[in-house]
Amino acid sequence: MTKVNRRDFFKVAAVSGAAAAVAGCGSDPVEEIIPMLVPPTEYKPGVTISFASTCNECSANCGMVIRTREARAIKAEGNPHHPMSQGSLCNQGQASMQAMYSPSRSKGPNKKGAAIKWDEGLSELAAKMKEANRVLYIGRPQSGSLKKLLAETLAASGGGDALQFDMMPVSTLKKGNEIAFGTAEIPEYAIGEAKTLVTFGADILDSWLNNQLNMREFTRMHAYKHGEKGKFIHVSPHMSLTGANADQWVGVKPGDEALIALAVAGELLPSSAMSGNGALKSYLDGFTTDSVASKTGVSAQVIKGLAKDFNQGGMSLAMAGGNTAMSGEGTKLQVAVNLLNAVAGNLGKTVKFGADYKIGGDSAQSFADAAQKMKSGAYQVVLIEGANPVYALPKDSGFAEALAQVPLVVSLSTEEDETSALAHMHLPTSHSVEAWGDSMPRKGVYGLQQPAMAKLPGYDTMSLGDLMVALAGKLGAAAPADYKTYLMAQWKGYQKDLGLGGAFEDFWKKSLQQGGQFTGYSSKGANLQSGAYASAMAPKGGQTGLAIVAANSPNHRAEGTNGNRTWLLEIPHPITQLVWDSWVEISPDTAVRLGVNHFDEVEITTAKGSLKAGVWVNYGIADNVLSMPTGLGREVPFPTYVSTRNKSIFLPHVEMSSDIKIKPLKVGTNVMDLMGFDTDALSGDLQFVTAVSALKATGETAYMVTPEGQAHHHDAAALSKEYTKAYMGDRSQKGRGFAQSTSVEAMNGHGGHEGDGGHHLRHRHYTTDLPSNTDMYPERAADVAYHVDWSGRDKPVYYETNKWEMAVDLDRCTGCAACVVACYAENNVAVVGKERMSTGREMSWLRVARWQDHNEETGDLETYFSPNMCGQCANAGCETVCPVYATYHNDEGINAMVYNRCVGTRYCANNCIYKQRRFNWRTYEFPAPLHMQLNPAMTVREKGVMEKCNFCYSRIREGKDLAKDMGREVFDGEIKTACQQTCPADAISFGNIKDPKAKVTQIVNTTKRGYHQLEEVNFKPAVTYLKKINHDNKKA
Amino acid sequence: MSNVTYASINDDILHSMKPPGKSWFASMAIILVMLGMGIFAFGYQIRHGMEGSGINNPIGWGVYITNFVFWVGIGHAGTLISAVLYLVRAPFRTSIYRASEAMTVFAVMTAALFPLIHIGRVWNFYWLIPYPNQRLLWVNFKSPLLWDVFAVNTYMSVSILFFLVGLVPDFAVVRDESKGLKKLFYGIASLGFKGTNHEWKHYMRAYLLFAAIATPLVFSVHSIVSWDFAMSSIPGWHTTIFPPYFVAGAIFSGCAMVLTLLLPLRAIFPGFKDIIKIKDMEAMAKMILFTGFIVTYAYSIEFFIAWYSGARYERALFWFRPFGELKFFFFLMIFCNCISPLPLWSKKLRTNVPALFIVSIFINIGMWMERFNIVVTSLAHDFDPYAWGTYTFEWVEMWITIGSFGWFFMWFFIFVKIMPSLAAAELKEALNPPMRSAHE
Repeated sequence: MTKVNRRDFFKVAAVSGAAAAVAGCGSDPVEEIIPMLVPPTEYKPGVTISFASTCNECSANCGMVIRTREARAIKAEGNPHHPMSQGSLCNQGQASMQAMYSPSRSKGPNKKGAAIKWDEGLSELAAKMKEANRVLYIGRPQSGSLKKLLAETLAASGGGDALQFDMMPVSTLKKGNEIAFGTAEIPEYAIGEAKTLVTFGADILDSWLNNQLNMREFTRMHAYKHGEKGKFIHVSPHMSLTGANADQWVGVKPGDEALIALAVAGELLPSSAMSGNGALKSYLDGFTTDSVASKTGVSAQVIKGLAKDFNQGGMSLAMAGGNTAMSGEGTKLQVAVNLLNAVAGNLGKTVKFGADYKIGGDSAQSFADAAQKMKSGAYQVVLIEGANPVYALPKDSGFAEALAQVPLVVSLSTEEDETSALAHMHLPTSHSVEAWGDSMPRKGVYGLQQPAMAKLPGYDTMSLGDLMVALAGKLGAAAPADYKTYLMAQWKGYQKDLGLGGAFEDFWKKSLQQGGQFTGYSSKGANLQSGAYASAMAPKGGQTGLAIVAANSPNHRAEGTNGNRTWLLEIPHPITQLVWDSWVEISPDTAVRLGVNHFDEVEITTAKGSLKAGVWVNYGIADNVLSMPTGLGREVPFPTYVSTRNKSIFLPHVEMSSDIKIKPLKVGTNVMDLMGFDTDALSGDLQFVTAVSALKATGETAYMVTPEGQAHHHDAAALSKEYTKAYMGDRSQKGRGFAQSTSVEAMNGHGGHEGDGGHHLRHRHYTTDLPSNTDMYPERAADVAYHVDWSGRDKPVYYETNKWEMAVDLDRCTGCAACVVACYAENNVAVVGKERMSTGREMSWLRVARWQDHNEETGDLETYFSPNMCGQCANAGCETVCPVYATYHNDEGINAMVYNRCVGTRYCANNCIYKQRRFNWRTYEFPAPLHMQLNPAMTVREKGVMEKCNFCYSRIREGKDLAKDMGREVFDGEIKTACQQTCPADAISFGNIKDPKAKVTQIVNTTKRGYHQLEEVNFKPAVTYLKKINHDNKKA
Repeated sequence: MSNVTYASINDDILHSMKPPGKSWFASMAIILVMLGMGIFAFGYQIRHGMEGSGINNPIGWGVYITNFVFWVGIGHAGTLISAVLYLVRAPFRTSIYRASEAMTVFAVMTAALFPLIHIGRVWNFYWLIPYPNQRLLWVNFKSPLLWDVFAVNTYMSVSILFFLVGLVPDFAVVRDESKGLKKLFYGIASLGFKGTNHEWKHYMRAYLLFAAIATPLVFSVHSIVSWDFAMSSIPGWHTTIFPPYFVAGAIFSGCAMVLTLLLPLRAIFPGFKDIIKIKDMEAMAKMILFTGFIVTYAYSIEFFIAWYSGARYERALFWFRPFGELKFFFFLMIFCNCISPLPLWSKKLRTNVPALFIVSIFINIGMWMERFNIVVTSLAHDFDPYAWGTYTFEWVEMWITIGSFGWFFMWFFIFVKIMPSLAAAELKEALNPPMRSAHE
């Protein structure tokens, strides 16, 4: 035996120890701890990995980037490569994370709740499909490969029909185009190139077509640039968010839009290239400005003004559509607007055909027909995927009853919903974040959808594509191994179509990286057909009498599939600022006439039914029109926190931890209960406007909740006469200048004064911040720098290389609140529910305040938005008052918050003049599996801790870490806050003010319209607002 | 004072320290139930967070801070009577100062609970204290809340010491009158005080010294408490008038509380009627009238300055207080603090026990409302109209408030039974010396 000396012994011991350690690590069952991706991909703890994909929340199919951490999807953002969303994502697209992790998600295949095996379910389905004469498939609109696979599968079953479910009334648009131009295509509306945009009902910023693309284009047209700013006029019964961003809102009765359009066309005809068309002239002579003015009540002056603005030599654009236009005259309106575009010479310039947009589904009439066939026994098997027609269609569509007649109804929905509850079998599909797919929203756009994470653990689901492949296989068709294989085969064809050479692997990889392949399309013009001015197309105009509109918004859609996303319920509706509810919007005059007041509960009765809702009085709705939000009245799983509402303050209301359950909670009411299944005679789309037979107050005060502080303060408001109408209250800024405005004329240096939104305080009373005065106190950083210098230390303490600042351009901001959703998603902001919102316990770090101010000159109300977040003040009030330094100024100018150090005195929140701090009044629940969406880079705060916006410091850290790893400095634009990233209007700029080339520095230093909110209090916030710019100091 | 002798003083005062009777136990039971409610609610709040109180965004401080300022304010009258009036040799002080000082100590003990109760993570309350630690975490001396920690702690220690020093000769009296264990206990409490000339000389010096130390605290503590508000940026808080306004208000409320406590005490123990004379109560009533006028002046000058400064936010706030939805609390405050003391101008009412008691209760309510108005309405209606809020009371804060009264009265009831509630030694000073014959 060899002699082992001491040193050798240690060597051996060390090596074997290390080997044992390595082996120990290696033998960990990693796969069981971390769900691996399909296909397996890199997994780096602590590093965000993003996957380009496609959004499936609506049929617009925007490009999406899914950020993942530790192999879990945590946030959905826009794909900057995608030509449609161009990097932004709407409220609902971002809430796809809450769909992915929805507490309503179905756990696995089941038959009326009894779990079955996938193979069992699929075999039974395939057998039944084979037996059936005909199969009906109802699904979300598909524009990609799945459409083909679906057709193949249905063919293999021996024949079937596929319907695409979507409530957006696009069939009307197609029908209108078919009548006017002979092509049933959705063209490209080049909003960005128009000098004047007039929308007839089309709520382009709310829900009409692709609202992200619309907002991008709208900003291009409407934001002040190089001395120019386009003009936007909204003609609609309901102002909505779209009208709130217009320069002028023309409130009309539902159905009168087409008359206005034709009157404008009539005004323009003499100077038009089509002036020689005699038939057109005689047709338009039937719609003279005066006759239309007397018929609609819109003054001739307004119509003439519209015509004047619209006369841009082909560079104007009129659009029609949206729910409010569906009053029975929808197709005629489309035709009239097409005629107007033709008369104005816009065809081929701002209205471009050839793009062939794929958005929306089949008309409601086709569902009525399908229901009829179901009743008559034509279908033996009905498959329903990603759609909830039982909820969304009006009750008298008879859809639910028809479904009951079908021998086998199979739901393929991701979630459990009203429709899946009626199904005999539920084979839950995976969410699109977990699945392969593709889409072609227009010609030249090939969007690819890849799974960003493995299937949610504990949920036995199958992706729709794989399910179809398996079904096709069981039906005996020649099926590929899985849907990915099928998809790749399709994409081989696309490579050929696109004329791209090289290996398919490279093409595929590149497509995956950038989320698809994006090219242009060749546009073509169109010619007005004589059918557009046939007498059959002459609009009759709206009915007099009370009518109700079911309106969409950025948070509400008629399909209702996102009616259970708590973010969309908790984030205030942009106009009403109401949360967790349905409401009825009424104009002040109508409210007075009907004898109802703001916040009264009323009962609305139509021919089809009645429901109760609270009244919200607003100037932005035409007289005799009511409006209610769509997509509500669904059951939302939410924690059952203890309720103390209307209960004694002297009796205990105790919540035990076992009391908190996740229970379905009905939110609002379904406006479709008022609607009949009336369809547009020409297009078959559902009408979203119906006559109201009675509206009466129930005598109760509605329990409507808003975080808007002024809503409570009726006493002060009652003193001002204008606001007393129906007690709608004063929603103005009280001259405090949160959202300031100026005019194009003032910006261009001529005409008028620079309107400062009535913010005179600074000039009148406080002078500390003016150059002629010295500050009473120097900025804290300057003070510290002075003392550092004085003490001979060489290193500055504050702002050495970085000071993060933000600029918010109110001229661009549309108030859509996509930034708020992004903030909730990024920062793990808790959703607190209606009751806690009503007691002021909202947790939102970012609010888009909506103001309604009187124009000093015209006396009319105007809507302004100001996104308010923590200003990271250089002289912050919160920092000095914290007794434990839980909040402090960090060296990069961030007003940092050390959650662990906070004892919860709330002094900081009291002393914040912007009221941006949020206290955790309790520990909030994130109902499973929503907790898996939480961003690991952000602490989840517990009860008793203060929190607030920190300019997404986790994202700043991420950017700086990346730059450090690559051995370089952070470059401008690399770090984006969540709100900035998703803003479709690019209203938010963020960067390092110490970098003279940074965009934010350029803006702050060169702008003529920058200001700080409450500047006179001298908190020196790091957020610079740029004034809203209006035409002639007027807006809607 | 003909019928009052050294012995009768001893007898009267020691009579109050006899073993408690049924009514004492019954009262104590109610008090303990109140305290129990408070403890239960506080436990619930620790477990569930602050949502059981009406505080919200933007009103981060509510009933708890109101209670804190209210109880600190109550304390001030006691120190004023025992220290300031001692230094200025006011004759009516002698009969009432012991009970008032006890009130001070217990009120400050109650007040000191509220900064703890109101913080979100009370289990970390010690982070507010600058203590050396390895992580070099320190407190922020710029924060008025930290000044509060020091002010209240100083005040509490000085009050307790001053109170105990004053008790030494009286404890000696109790010791002399008792046997067994009780004698031992009071012997220790009296620090072996024998009443020699030498001892009296040192004792009086020490007492004077404490009175001199306590006097500035009467003014400083409530000034510092007022800085919690005055040092901030919120309209309605950010005012230079606050320190004198708060001190006057504190004395106003404290005098009222003295009446609220002493009038029943006088009724319960018949012997006290000779000692706590109606004249002394009248002197309190005059103090109330005087400080009440200062408070009324402060209210009106706040409104004047809001108008005169032209500051829009300030004006909006002072419009909101009388006309906003929290106006009930404002007008209740005006009625209780400005109007209800006015009848005291009449000597007849000033010397009428029920009238005095009713007025004192009104003032107690009014001064609570004053603090509630300052704390809540200012936060409810500050700069950003979008962030305005309103206040609704919730059960946890109500129970804790009830519990704080239980806590205060528990100590007061114990005090009455274990300590001489009137200052025997000083009352004797006021008598002619050689009357020992009546004693055994």
